[in-house]
Amino acid sequence: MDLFSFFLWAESSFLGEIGKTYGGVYATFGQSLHLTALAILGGSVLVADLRLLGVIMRDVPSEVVADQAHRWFKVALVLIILTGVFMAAAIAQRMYYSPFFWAKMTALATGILFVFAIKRPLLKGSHDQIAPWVIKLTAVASLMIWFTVAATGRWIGFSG
Amino acid sequence: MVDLKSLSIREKIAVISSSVVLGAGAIYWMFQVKAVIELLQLAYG
Repeated sequence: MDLFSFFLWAESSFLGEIGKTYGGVYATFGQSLHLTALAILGGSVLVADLRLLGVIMRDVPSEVVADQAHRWFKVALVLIILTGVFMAAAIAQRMYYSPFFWAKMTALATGILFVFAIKRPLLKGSHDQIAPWVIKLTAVASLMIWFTVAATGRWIGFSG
Repeated sequence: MVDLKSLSIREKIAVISSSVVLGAGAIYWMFQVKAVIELLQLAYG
């Protein structure tokens, strides 16, 4: 099965049919929950990265802020993926042809890989052992990735 | 000048990957902003 066939299947699947048929379900369980998850995920990323940059909560150890924010990040990530799959299934063919959808997916995959393979391993343990400029560079890169996910996601709605 | 030799493996990986991400992001958004400017010029002259 090639990628386009998969998207066609997704749109005709149970999930896709529910989303297409019942606008209220799409709006409530899709969009509203997706936006709520986005707020939690974006908030956790902002709090952690701004703390790592030394902009906010400077009276709280960065290890504490990063750990606590990461817990909410994981919860939000699961919710955002589940609701995103539901929403995309309903308009799968349109998503397949949308360059901003693919940009968002690329950024999302990069973000997930960056968090779990680069950022978390780096920030485990005491941050005093890490060069401050390395922490700041990582925080800026993280902000860039998640801004791109959010912006391209919103851009999907404004594209053809 | 930054002393890269004193960094641990994890720090080096973080620096390289962050630099790649920032570079790719800058290029991507540069092209997107350019495309929007061209669209606005087409629409409004």
